[in-house]
Amino acid sequence: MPDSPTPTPRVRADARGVHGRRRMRIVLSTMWSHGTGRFALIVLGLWMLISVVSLFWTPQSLWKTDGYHVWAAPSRAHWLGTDGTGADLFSWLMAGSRTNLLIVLLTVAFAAAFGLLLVAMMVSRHSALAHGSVVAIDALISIPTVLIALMLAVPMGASVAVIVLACGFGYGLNLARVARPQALLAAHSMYVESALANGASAPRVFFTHIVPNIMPVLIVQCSLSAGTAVLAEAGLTYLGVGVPSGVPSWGHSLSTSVRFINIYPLTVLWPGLLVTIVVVALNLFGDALRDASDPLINPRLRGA
Amino acid sequence: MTGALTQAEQTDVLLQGERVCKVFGPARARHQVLFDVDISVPAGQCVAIIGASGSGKSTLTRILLGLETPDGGDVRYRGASIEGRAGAPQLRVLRDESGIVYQNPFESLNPRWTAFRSVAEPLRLRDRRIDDETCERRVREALTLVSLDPDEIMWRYPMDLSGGQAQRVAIARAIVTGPSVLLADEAMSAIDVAARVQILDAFAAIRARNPRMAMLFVSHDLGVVQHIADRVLVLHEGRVVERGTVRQILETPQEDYTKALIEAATL
Repeated sequence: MPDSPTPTPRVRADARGVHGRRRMRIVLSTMWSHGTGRFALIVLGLWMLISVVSLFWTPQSLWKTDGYHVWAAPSRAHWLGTDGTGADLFSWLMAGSRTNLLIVLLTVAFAAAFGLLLVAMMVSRHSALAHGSVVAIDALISIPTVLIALMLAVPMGASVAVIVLACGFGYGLNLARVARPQALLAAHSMYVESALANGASAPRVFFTHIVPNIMPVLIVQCSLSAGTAVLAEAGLTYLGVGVPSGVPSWGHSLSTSVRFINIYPLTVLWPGLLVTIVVVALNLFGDALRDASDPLINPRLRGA
Repeated sequence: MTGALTQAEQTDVLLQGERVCKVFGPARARHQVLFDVDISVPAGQCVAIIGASGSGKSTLTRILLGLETPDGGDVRYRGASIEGRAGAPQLRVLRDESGIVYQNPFESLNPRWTAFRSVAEPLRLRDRRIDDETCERRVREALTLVSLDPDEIMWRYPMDLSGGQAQRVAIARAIVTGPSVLLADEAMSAIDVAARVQILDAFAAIRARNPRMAMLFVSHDLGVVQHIADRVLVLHEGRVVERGTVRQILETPQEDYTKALIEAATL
């Protein structure tokens, strides 16, 4: 343990803790200053922008079909060509982006909430609850997400809710498993003991001490879950248990064209490329956000 | 065993353990770490608990502060037992009026909290409605008392502090509420020799500011103990082998184990 001289840069006198908007600005500018973070921010920003715009405007109506121009190549009228009904592929992908955004946001929110609940149970001081939840999670994690989706689809039919529930459940289990070691370290630390000795309640200790210390793991795990949710949407929609027919989504565009990949490869390429770019951006976003938002990694958050 | 408390000290005892026993492990592999330990900590005095590693020092102090439950005996704070379920009234009083300093400051401070937030935590936990100004004023007072410059230290994270600075922040957290009992559990062991003087000075300043505060000082470093303690209790394999004033123990030890400890310290 080094003692003298002080091994750190001097902290600015105005660095009275970095909170709120100032913290957000520092996190975003740190992400922007790195190539991967900038790529992720641009892609995800465009995704959100296009999703919002698609609510009001698309180049062509989604429901305008043309039997004489099915599987058309890209042209001035149809920038990415048409699908098997002659509808404009670009418009469908634009409209699909909002469905996928909704699925990703809901799935990650559900997975994070469910995962945190499981982490709280696993680091509980009641040993029966802690041990029981570890065993239960180990058992449940062995059930494939696709199987859960198929089971849910029986009573619920093909719907966005099936994807969100099945993926959120599976990813929540994964998140809890991955975050557990870090959470246990924090839960058994001296600073938690000190807080408890000072009269802190268990929920307060969990949210103020444990969650900030597992945040780097949570961020990466949530971004991976977001990317996997995009892929899962495509897979489950192809299986017929995801987004219902008639609702635009990238998985829907893929599943209707994938059978003709040998004849009209471009109609598969566009949604496939979109999914790939977004999944890569989501994964990079997680890494960049973790590095930018952790005060132990980003010295600017420590006022240095 | 010599070193009984005087009549005045006995009436002034703040924290007392009577025939404290502790057993670890399952029934088949029972390992008793404390055997009928008696200890009294009078107000205004510093009682050092010394002994080799594994002698039960830390377990005894944790039991005395209600952080662990004894398997036998009783712990009394201000004359009332703290035993019973967590949340027993007297245990809550003890927790409200005590502070702990741990061995390694980098493990006892949340790495993702500023020094200010760590020191302010006991204040906010005791009084949910404390306003920011009062909170900051008291944090500044506590940091100043342990010879740290609040403006320089408050907004730093533990990783930006040296070992001595971090330990003094941890001490500031322990004393910010003005506790009646302060436990220092091997508070010097993880600190390099140059910084130990700063920590000793910090403890001396705290005791000068609050002369009625009782202090439990766990250590195996007799050099430090002779500077800070009034009374010493020597633990060996869970049993008290000797007790008395610092002078009695260090100058005229009666037991072979104590003599060995002193010899080891002067090597």
